[in-house]
Amino acid sequence: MKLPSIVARHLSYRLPANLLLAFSILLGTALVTFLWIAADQAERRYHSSSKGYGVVLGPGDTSPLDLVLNTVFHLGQSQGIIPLSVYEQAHADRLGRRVGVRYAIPQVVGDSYRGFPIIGTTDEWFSKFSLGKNKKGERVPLQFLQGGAWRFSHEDLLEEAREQAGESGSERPGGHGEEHEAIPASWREVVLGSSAAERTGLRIGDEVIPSHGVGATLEEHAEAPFQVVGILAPTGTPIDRALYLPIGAFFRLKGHEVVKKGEGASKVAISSVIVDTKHPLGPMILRSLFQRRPEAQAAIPAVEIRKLFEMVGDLALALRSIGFLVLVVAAIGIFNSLYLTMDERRREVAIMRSLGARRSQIFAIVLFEALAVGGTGAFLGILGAHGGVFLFGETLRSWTGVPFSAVDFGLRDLWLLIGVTLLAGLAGLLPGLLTLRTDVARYLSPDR
Amino acid sequence: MIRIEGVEKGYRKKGGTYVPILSIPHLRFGEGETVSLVGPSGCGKTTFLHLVSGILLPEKGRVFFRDQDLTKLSERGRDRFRARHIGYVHQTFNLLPPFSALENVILGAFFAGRSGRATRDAARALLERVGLSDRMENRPGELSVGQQQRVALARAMINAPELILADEPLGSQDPETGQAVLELLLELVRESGATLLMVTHDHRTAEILDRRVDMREFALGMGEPAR
Repeated sequence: MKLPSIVARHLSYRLPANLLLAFSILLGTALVTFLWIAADQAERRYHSSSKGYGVVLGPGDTSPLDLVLNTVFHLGQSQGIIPLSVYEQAHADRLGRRVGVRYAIPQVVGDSYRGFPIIGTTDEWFSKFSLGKNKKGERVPLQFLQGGAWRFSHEDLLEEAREQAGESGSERPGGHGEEHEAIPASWREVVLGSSAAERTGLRIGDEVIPSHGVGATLEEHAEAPFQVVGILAPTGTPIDRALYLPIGAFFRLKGHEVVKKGEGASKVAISSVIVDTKHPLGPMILRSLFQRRPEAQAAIPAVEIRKLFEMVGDLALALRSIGFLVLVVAAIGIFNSLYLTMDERRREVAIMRSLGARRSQIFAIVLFEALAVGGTGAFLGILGAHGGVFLFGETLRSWTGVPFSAVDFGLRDLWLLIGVTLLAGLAGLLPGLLTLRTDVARYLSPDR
Repeated sequence: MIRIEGVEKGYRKKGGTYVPILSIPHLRFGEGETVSLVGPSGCGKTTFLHLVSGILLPEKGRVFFRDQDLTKLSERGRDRFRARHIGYVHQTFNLLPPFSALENVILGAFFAGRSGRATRDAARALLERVGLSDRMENRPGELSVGQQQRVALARAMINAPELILADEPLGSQDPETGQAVLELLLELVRESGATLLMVTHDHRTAEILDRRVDMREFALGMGEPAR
């Protein structure tokens, strides 16, 4: 028989109480671990989601953070409009200084389908936009899980803008905010992000009727059913949550007034432009250039997200503090449990001392009991948090769009394990020291 | 083997007043001797056993085990001495509830620094010897009073002690069980050649042993010893 066996016997003798204590430690540790995982992965997700969005051009009268949140993360309402001319200049890399525009992709927002945002754009979204490079260092465009992209090019957009402004020469009903009757059949196509497809259950060939707006009471664009032609592969970014329509079709939906009478095509309203540049300082240059242009601003997602996390850092700290508080309460529980069983323990201690046990051995037994309860709870808590994320990661991903990675064990987990175990040891310290003061002769008496 | 010289022992009341209990000018016990310690409750019998085992230290005087003065040993030294040389049997057996009968016996050896297969085998053999071969894995709560006392006897014997201290070992048992346990204890003591100091209230038990010491002789504030 060794000291660990003696500790194990003591623990199993008071199993229900010890299990409860270990469970409270488990809960605290799991909470801290989960908050760490969630905060890490949310931050990672926010940063990785902004890849490909070098700079966002949008309305100048809103905050750059709101613009980024709306354009990249589809959060909140449309932040306003900018004239198409900004897009045209960006596409042609003529924004005042050449920055090597890799792509400039327009977006119009404001409609939704069953709560999922609908985005009007061009087919360069599928052919040019890239979330990053592959292992070979090549830029990879968005991949399709099923089907493919619809066709609506940059040139189609410029032509439709002229059409909307009445500059094309053809008299087509529907301009200037009037009721459109003709969305060409080839434009009535929609591509779905993977989460949107999964959550709505839509498949290739199914029909989508957009709703006007993104609020609670929505009017359907019953005049314009769209057919699903493609489903994007998961990206682990908010791209997965959206539906993508040809921007021209979006212009023609009922109630979408994109240009006023008498204004030219260059004044056609869009929500934003996503720009990526070859010039490493391109985003900074554009931001500086747009500080002198009232009609639009250039927001850099990477910068805005960093600011956002600086703002929410305090909240994350508060949540983490709650987790640590749970751990301290659990440690007090260990102290309490050891302290309340002191009388019973003192008798055992007296018996052991009469058998020749040294004080140090007795102290070690009490201390190791606390360490074992704390260590087991902490180990299972860390394992449980990672296991929970592993088991429910897919559900969490489809709800939040955050791709939780479960097996992301790190040095931090080890420190938490050591820290919580030592905290439990600390809780066992005083009861351990008190047992050393046991009056052996008194506690061996049959009257006790 | 045991020599007590000029020992005085008492306790302090709340407030600091010293209350003497025992005063033993001189007392000796020989090798292999079986001795009953008799006297009414409160005359210091158990305190005497604690002094001999080194659990308590006297205020004055010396307690020798062979040539070793226990009062000169450190607490750790007395712990080691107790583990190696003394087997203790208590009235209420004082088995450790979390441990099985076998583990209770092994614990006696563990604190003397012995462990491993040989110790386990010795513990098994002792439990077989006291008639508990089929109850080794039972915890104290699952054993009868007589069985618990047998486990306590086995635990006291595991280190082959030279001195066995028994504090009213039959006190909690019915006469039949008590008689059986007593016979077993004496058998084990005689086989091992150990010295036995046994506190008892039972005169018949006292008569079986080699010698009888009336603790009233050394107790302060008690009546005259029965002669």
